[in-house]
Amino acid sequence: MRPTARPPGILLLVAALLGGCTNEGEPPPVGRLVFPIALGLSPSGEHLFVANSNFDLRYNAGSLQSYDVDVLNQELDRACRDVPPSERDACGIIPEEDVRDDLTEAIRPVQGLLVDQVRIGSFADGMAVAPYGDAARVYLPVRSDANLTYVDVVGGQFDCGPGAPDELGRRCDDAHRRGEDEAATLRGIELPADPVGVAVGPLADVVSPDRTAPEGNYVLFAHRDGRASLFFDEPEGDSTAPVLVHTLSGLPSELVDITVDPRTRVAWAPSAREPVLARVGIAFDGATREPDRSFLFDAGGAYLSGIDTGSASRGDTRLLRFDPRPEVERAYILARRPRALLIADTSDASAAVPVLDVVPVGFGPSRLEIATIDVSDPEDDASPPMLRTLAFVSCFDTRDLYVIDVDLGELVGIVRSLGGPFELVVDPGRGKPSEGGYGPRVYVADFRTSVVRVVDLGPMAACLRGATPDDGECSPQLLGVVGRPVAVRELR
Amino acid sequence: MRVYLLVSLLVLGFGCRQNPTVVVPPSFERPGAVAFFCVDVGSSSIVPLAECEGLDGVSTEDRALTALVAQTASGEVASVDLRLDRIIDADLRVPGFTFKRVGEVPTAIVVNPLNPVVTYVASFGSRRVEYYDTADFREDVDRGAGLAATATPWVELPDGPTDLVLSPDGAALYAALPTLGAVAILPINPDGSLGTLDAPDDPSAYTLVPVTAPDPLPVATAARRAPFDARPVACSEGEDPRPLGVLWTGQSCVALEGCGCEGADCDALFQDAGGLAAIDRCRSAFPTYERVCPTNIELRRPTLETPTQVMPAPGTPPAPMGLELDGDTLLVLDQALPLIHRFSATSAALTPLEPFAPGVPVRDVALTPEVPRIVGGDASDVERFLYAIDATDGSVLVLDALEGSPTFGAVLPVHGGAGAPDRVRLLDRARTIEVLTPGFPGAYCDLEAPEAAAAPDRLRGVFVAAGLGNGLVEIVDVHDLDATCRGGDTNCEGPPVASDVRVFIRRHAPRIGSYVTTAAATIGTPTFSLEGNTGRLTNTGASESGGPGLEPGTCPPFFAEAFPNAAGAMPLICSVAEPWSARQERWQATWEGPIPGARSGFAHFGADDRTIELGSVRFCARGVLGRDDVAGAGLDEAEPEFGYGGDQLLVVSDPPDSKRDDPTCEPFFLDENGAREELPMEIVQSMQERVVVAEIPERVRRCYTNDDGVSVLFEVEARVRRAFAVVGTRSGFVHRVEADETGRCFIDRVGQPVIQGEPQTFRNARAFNERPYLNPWVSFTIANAGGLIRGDRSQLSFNLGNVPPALVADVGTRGQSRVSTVVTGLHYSPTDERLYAVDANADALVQFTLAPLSFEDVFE
Repeated sequence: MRPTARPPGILLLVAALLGGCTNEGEPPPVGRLVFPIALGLSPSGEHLFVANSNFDLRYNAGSLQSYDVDVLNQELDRACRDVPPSERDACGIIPEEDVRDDLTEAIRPVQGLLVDQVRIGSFADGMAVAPYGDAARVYLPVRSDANLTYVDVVGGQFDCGPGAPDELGRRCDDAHRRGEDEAATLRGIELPADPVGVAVGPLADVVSPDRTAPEGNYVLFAHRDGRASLFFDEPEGDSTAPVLVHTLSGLPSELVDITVDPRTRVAWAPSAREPVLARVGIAFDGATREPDRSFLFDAGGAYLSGIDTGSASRGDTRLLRFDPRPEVERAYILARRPRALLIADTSDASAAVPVLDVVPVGFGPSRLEIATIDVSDPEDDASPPMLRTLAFVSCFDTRDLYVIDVDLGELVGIVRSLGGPFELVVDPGRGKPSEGGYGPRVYVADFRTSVVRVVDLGPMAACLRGATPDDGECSPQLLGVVGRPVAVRELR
Repeated sequence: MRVYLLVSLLVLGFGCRQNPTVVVPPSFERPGAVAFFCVDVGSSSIVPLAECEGLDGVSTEDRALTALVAQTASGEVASVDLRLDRIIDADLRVPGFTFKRVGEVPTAIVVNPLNPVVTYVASFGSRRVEYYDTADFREDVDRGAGLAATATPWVELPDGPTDLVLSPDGAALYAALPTLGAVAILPINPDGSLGTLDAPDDPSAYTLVPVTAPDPLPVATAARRAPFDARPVACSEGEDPRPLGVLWTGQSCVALEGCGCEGADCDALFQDAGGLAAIDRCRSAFPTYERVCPTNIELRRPTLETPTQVMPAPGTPPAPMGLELDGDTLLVLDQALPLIHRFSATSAALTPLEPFAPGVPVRDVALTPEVPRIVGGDASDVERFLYAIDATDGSVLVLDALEGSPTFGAVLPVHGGAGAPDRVRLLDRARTIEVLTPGFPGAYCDLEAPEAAAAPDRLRGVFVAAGLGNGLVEIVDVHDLDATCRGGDTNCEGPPVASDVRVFIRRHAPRIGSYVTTAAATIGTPTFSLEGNTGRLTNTGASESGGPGLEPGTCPPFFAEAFPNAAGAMPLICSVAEPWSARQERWQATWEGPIPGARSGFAHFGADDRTIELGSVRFCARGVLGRDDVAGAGLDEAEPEFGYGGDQLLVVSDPPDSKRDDPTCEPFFLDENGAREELPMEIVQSMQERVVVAEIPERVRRCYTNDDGVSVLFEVEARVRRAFAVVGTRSGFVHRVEADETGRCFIDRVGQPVIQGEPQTFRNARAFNERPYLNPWVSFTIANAGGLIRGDRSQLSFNLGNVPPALVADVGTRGQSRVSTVVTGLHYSPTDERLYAVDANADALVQFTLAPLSFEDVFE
C-alpha cells in the first residue's frame, strides 16, 4: 500500500456516505496517530504538528496533534538511546493519553508529550505553518469536503472554535473550514475538489515595492485536476478568516503539490502525469486592497530539459523545493520518471528549465525536504558553523530515506527499514546534547505503520565534519518512534 | 573513465552470443561503479585479466570473466559470472541472493588487472577504502593464502572518497576527497592489504596531497596555429583593390584584397597553382579532418577566438571529484574550479604539473588514442584529444591532449554554426562519455563487402559515445577508418552504396546516422497568408493570397537553397548547409507578432506618466527593444537591427469590473467573439522590469485606473512593430539583447558582433519589407509588404526538414516500448567491441553492438 496522497475514489464516496449517515462513528482516540499524512514545525521549533488523515475511515474524523519537541526528544533519547540500532524500529514513546492495551515494553507512555489535539476532516493532504500576528496559524487542505481548514496556535495549543483548550480531541468548528460556503466567497466561486498541496507566504511578498505592504498571508492550493486556488488571510477588524479570492483552471492535470519560488514569487506545481510543471503567479492589487481585483494567472508551464521520462507525453514529478540559500538559483525536483532527484537551474524564467544533475533514488520517491544544517560539533562553542545543504528524500516503496549532498550531487547516506516513510520535516536541533538538547534530526511520518519515526543525523554530521561516529557508521540512524507501529493490512 | 576499460569485459556479451540466458540481478539497487576480474575455472583460481581476452564467454571455456557491480543504495557489491550469465550468491546459507556487504555508498571498485587477488572499494558514506580477497566475491574460487583476517579491512579517511584508481605501477591507490580538496595516496602492502592491521584509523596509512589551484586561475586558451603576418595596403583614390592571395588568419583561410601587402608573411600568401585554387591550397596546408560530399558544398570551418570561461567566486576551494590515469599522469577532475589538475604519478608521490584549463569545471573525461590528423592519414602526423563534460551545463568540449603539441591543453574549435564554437553539438546534455575504438588500429576501408561496410551506422575507428540526459547515446566522429570510401572517390564519384551521395564526416562533430541523398529543404509548400487567406507561395515568390511574398535572391555564404529547388527558379528560402547546424523546425514570420515570453500578468502604471512597471519578467532576456535602445546603439547600416523603430506594448486584459459601465472602456472588454480593442504603445526604452513608452493613451489610463486614481493590475504583451517577428519552434526568437547593470536593455554589439559573411552572428528575429533577412539557420527576403498597417494579419510559414539524423542508441528501448532512464555510466569493451550502458533508473545494464550500432540485450 502506498500513500499517493489521493485515496481511491471509493473511499471518498464512502466518506460522503458516512457524512450522511446518522451513525456518527467514533472520534479518533486522543494521542493516537492514524495514518499521519503531514508534518510541520512551529515557527519557534518548539512544537511538532501532525495531521492524521484517517485514511481507512475507521473514525469519524481526522486529527491535528501538537507535540512538545523537547519532551519528544528527551524522552525518546531516554527510552531508546541504549537500545541496539537493530531494535530501535520497535522502541519508542507514546502520549500517555493514548490508552491502549497493545503496548509493548519497548513503547513507553509519556506525560506532557501531547500538547493538544483537535478533530478536522478526514483526508487532510498537506500542511503549512506560518506566523500570524503574534502567534502561528496552521493551514490544511482537506480533501474529504474540499476545504481550507485553519487552526491558530499559541504555545502549542490550538484554537479552532469553541471548546476548552484542555478538551483534547475537540472538534474544529465550521467557521474554520473555508472555501466550501459559496456565500463566503466574493466572486461566486467555490473551492474546487481535491486540494492536494498548500503553500503559504506573507502578503507583503507579493506586493509591488511601491505599494503599502499589508499584514497577513496568502494561501495557495493545488488541486489534483489541474487547478489552483488563492486565499487571502488578512486580519481585518474582527474577521481573521481566510477568504477565497480566485481559482485558476487549465493547468496540467494530476498536480501533487505547490511551492513558491522565494525570488520571483511564482508558484510551481509538479504534475504526476504530464511532462510539465505548472507555474502560477499571484497578482495582488495592493493599491485597492480589494480581493476581487487580485487574481491568479498562468505564468506558463516549465519543461525540464535534459531528462528522460520514457515518453514525450508523460512525466511524473512529485515535489519541488527551492534552494534555501538566496545566492543559489536552483530547484530540486523529486521525480518518478526518472526515479531521481533532479537538480535544476532556475536562474532564467523561460519555459525550458535545464536539469543540471540527476541523482537516482529508491522506488516510490514521495516527499522531499531541503535543509541547510550545521554539522559542526554542537558541544564545541568555539567551532565555527559548518553548513551543508542536504536533500532528504523519502522512498515509500523501498522504505528508506535518502540523504543527498546537493552541491556534490552525491548520496551521503541512507536510512533503511522505515516502514512506510512519507512526509518528513527536518529539525536543526536545539541546545547541546550534553545539556538535554539534541542535534539535527528528521521526523518522518510513517504512513504504513502510523507512527512518526525520529532519525538522528548526528552520526552523519560527525562524518561530514571529519569526526568518527561512535560505532563507525556514517549514515543517519533511526532513534525510535512516536506511537505504536501498527502494520496495515491490504485494503480490500 | 577507467583507462583499463579494456576491462569492460562487463560483458554480459560473452554469454549473450551463446543462447543468451538473461542475467536478472534481482536485487540491483542503484548500480554504480564496475570492475572485472578473470577466473581460471579449471584451477578455480583468479588470474590476470588478460587471460580473459579473446574469449567468447561461452560456458565451455575455461576462463570466466566476472563483473563486480557496486550497489550504492544497499552498500553492497554484486558479482556476476559472465561466462554462465549468473549472479553469484555470496552466502549460500542465507536464503535468496546475498551480495557482499561493503561500506556505505560505494563509489569505486578497483581490481589490479595484473594482480587481481585483492579488490579495493571506496565507500563515500563510510569515508574509507576497503580491501577484500577477490575470492570473497566468488565462493567457488580458491583464495590461496588470502589476506590476514581482520574485522576492519579498511583505511579510514578524513573525507568520503568519490573515486579510486590504481597507480601506474600498481603499488598504491589514489582516492579523490572532494570536501577536503585533496587526493589520498594509499600504499598497498606486499600482501595487497592497506594500512596497519587492526588499526583502520592509523593516519600513516595514507598521504594527503592537497589539490591546489594557481592564483590567479588560468583561463582557457583557444587552439590556434599562428596567423600570417600579412595585411592589405589601402588603395588610393581611383585605384581598385586586387586579389593579393589567401591568408591564413590563425583560424581559417581568407582571401585578401588590397593595393599591396605589408607584413613578414606577404610572400607566404597562397596563390592559385598547379591547378589548385589558392583557397584549397591553404586549406590543405591547414587541414581539417573532414570528408564531405559532394565537393561543392561549402561548410564553415569551426573557429574559436575566446573559449567559454566560468570563473568561480573568489576563495572557492577545489573539489576533486574524479580521477583518470593517463600513462604516468594522473588527471584530477574538479567540480568547483575550471581546472583539470595534473600530477606526475608514482606510488610514492604525486608531483603537480601545469593543470589543464578547460574554462569550466568538468564532471567526466575521455581520452582518445593518437589518431591521424587527416582522413586517410598515417601515424606520422597525429593528434590526440581529451573530451570533457562541462559540469555547469552538460555540454562537451575538446582539448588538445597531444604531448609536445604547440597547443597542448588548449580548447579546440569544434562547431562552425550558431552557438558556442567550442562545444560539440549534441542532442541533449551529456552525463557520461567514453571513447570507442572498434577495429582500431586497422586498415582503411578494410571491407569484406564494401557495400555493407561503408555505412553511417557501422563504427570502425575511433569515436566518442556520449550518454545523454534524454536516455540516448550519441556518437561523435573522431577517426573513421571507412571515411575514405564513403561517398566514392576523392571527387565523390562512384560510392559503394548508391544512396551514399551526401557525406558529412568531420572530427568532433556528431556522426550522421543515415545515408543522405537530399539537402535540407522545406517540407510542403511555404505559405504567406493575408487576412485569413492561406496564400501558398509560388516558385517566383508570389503568394496566392495576393499579399506579401518573397523575393528571389542568392543564398548567403554557407547556406543552400531550401525552397523552391526548382529548375530555373532562384532561391526564395535558404537554410544553413551543414547538417550539424541545421534544425528541423517550423518557422513563422508574423506581421507585428508577439515576442515570445514578453508578457506580464501584473503590470501597472508607474510613477511617471510614461512608465509601466512589469514585475519580474526580464524583457531584455526576451529581446524587447525600445526606439531609443536601437537609436542609441550606434548601429551601422549592415547590422540587422539598423533603423528599427522599437517594439510596442499592448494591454491584453479586461479593465476592472467597475469600468464595465463606462462606454469609454467597453471596447477594452473581450466581446463575444473574443476580441477587444488594442491601443499599442510605442516602447521608447525597454528594461528588464519596466518600459518607458512614448505615450500612454488617455483611454487606457482611464480604464485601468480605479476611482481612487490608483492603477489596477493588468496584463501586457510586447510585440514587434512595423516588422515581422521571426520565430522558430526550436530556435525561438533569436536576438542579441542583454541587460546592463541598471537593467536597461541594449544590443550587445561588443559581445555578439555581426560579422558579414558569418551568418551565425546574425542573431536577429525581426524581418523588414524588402530587406534580406538572415539568422543562423534560415534566410529570405520579404517583398510586397509595404502596404501592411497595424491590425493587419499576415504571416509567412514554412517547415524545414530533411535534416539528417544523428547516430544514436537508445538506452531505454524495450522492444516496442521504452522506459525512462538515468544513464550513469558507459563502458566500452575492446575485447568483444561492445558498448555497455549503466542505467541507474531501471537498474539495468544495456548492451549494444557497434557494427552496426544497435541494441543487443538488456539485463535488469
